[in-house]
Amino acid sequence: MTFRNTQIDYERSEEATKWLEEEISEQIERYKKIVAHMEEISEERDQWYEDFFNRIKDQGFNADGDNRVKIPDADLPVKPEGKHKVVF
Amino acid sequence: MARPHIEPFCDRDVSFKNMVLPGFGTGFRYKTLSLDNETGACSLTVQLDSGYKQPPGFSYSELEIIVVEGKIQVGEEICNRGHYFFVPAGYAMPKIESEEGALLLMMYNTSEPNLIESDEHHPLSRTELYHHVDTYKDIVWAPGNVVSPSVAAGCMIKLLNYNPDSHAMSFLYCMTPQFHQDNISYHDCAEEGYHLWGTSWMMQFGDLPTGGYFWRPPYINHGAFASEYGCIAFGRTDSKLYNHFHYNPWSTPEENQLRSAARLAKRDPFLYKWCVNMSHNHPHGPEDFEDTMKRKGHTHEDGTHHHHDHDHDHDHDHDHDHDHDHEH
Repeated sequence: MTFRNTQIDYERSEEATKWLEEEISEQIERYKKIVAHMEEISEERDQWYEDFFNRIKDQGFNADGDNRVKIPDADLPVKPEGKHKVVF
Repeated sequence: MARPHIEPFCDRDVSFKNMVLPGFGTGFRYKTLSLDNETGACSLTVQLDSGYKQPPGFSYSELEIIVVEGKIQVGEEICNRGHYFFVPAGYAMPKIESEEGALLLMMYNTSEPNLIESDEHHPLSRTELYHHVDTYKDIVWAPGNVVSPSVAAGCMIKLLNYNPDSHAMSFLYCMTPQFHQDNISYHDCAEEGYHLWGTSWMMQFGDLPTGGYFWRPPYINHGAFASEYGCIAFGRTDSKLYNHFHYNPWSTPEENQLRSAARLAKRDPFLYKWCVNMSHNHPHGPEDFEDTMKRKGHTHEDGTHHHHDHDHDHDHDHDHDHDHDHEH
């Protein structure tokens, strides 16, 4: 996140380098747990997708704000083969 | 983008750690939400223990802070929950104290956390950018249709910070009880969010409760959205927020990115052709004459011109490939 690019160059200390290395290791573990959890809820998610398709057929897809457009069944996407990921 | 996709994550699921980096003293504990592996830029939930005292000082990193719970005293001013600070790099904050303790969200935008004790700003600090506000009392909720296509009614925002060049934003957002929006969204920017209070639901990730967090790189599907009882959250983007809505939950980030480019080609065909056909692949983007043209005033002795939002050094001596072939 480089919001305003107001950084001031400086030399990172050994302490800070060590801190960063430890934090990176912990983040890798955090990421792995998230991916595992997202795989655990795959079946539940599949049902959420089905519910979503039913809603956008019956009540409409939010195209812009509260402007809802009903999507014909024939226009719904076909699930591709292979593993589905939600975390990248 | 050196931060990985962290979504969903709830800070209530992990314990606070003592800050071991110098300058922060005792009573400063934190949980890391996300971290840039290269720069060390990070977002932290911070617990200031009761009685915490921090001397005046600055960081080499740009910093954003919002008080989540409790209150802090900054100099002589008492800042309650909902108080937001944008602190440019090198800006010396006065002493910070918390008599009863406080929970903060702290975002170091350009490096790992550091604190240099000083009651003077760094000479390179852009002090004029510093600002702070009580977001709960001093700003009213605005409809979420600041961008088009927009979110559904019931999702509102308070804009806290805006970069006129990149259109990056920091903001509060809320969802009213029973809010729902039936579309899938992705953006051309990274997006970050932290739930100050309440729970929302997203079709890919499930419930995000109080303390829930995400750092989402560009082009990743999220939504449909809902909130049964409502929520209030802090959010940021790192460039312009454009809602690419669709209803294919299986599209990949690569497909979404291609779609964004296809939509650009349809909307701005001349610009798109110029960018692609002329092979203008300069890593920093094309030159903006407003950044480089000679001006009557503000010219340095070496003939260069100071541009505030682009003030880091560039190496223009490296090679670029301007003559590669394309085959179709």
